[in-house]
Amino acid sequence: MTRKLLFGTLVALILVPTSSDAHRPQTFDADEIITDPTISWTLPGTFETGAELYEFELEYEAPFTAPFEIFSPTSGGNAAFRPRYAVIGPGFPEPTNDVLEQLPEGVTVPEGSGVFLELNDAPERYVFFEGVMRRVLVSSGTIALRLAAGQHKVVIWAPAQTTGRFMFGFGVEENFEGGGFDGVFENWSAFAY
Amino acid sequence: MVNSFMTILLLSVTALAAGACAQPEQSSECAQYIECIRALDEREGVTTDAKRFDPSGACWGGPEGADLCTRACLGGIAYLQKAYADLPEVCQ
Repeated sequence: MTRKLLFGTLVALILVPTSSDAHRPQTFDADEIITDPTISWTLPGTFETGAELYEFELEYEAPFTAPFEIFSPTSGGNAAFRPRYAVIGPGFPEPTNDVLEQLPEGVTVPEGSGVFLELNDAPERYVFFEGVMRRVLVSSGTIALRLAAGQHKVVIWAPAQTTGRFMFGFGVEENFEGGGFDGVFENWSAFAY
Repeated sequence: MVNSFMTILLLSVTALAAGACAQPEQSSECAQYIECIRALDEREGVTTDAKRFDPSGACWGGPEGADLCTRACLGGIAYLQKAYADLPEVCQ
């Protein structure tokens, strides 16, 4: 009897789905990058020369808050890479001259918009194993941002023209409907390493 | 002897399964963050979509998400305190 109970418990354990949170993958060359800004997304990119600029837009009908962060995959000697990002839009503090000077060349702040700036320069960064694509990532530090209603632009760049790979992630709610994993299989090396 | 061993193993596995399946609850960090967001909302006359951080939100569906959200709330409060001078008291 005990053996049957043990066997049943083991089978149940195997069948119980494990919890793993995953962002919806997307690439920067998509026609429409973020189709629903209220769900979670991850976007990979590579700074080949360090002069590249990655951008996407988020538009909210009402104020919205969710976690935001930028990661560097640690494989291939990429752990030291510290890409930066800014969220430019209504509701954030008006940028000081110091903030404006740290934005990449050509990036402007529209009238009435403010800036959230992530310099990714913390001495100690959070390192974790990401169980969906099975990689070790180092994070800028996840932060819950409150974005006012309206249009926002996320800008990602590399400091001092350094080179490396990154993943940008935001949001919590998972939604993979309508081919949510298509981008992964078409761009496997970007997502999986 | 074998039966005792099997019983102990069964109890251990059951306890492990129960622990693994336990759903996290909203963290105190996110409770404070939400309280702060609601105070800001009241001041501005808006309602922020913050449902993921609410006690029944998507943050608390598993340990990984709960950990991510808790760190995000901690970072969010720290950022608000650094970036805005006149925050409501609940944000301090």
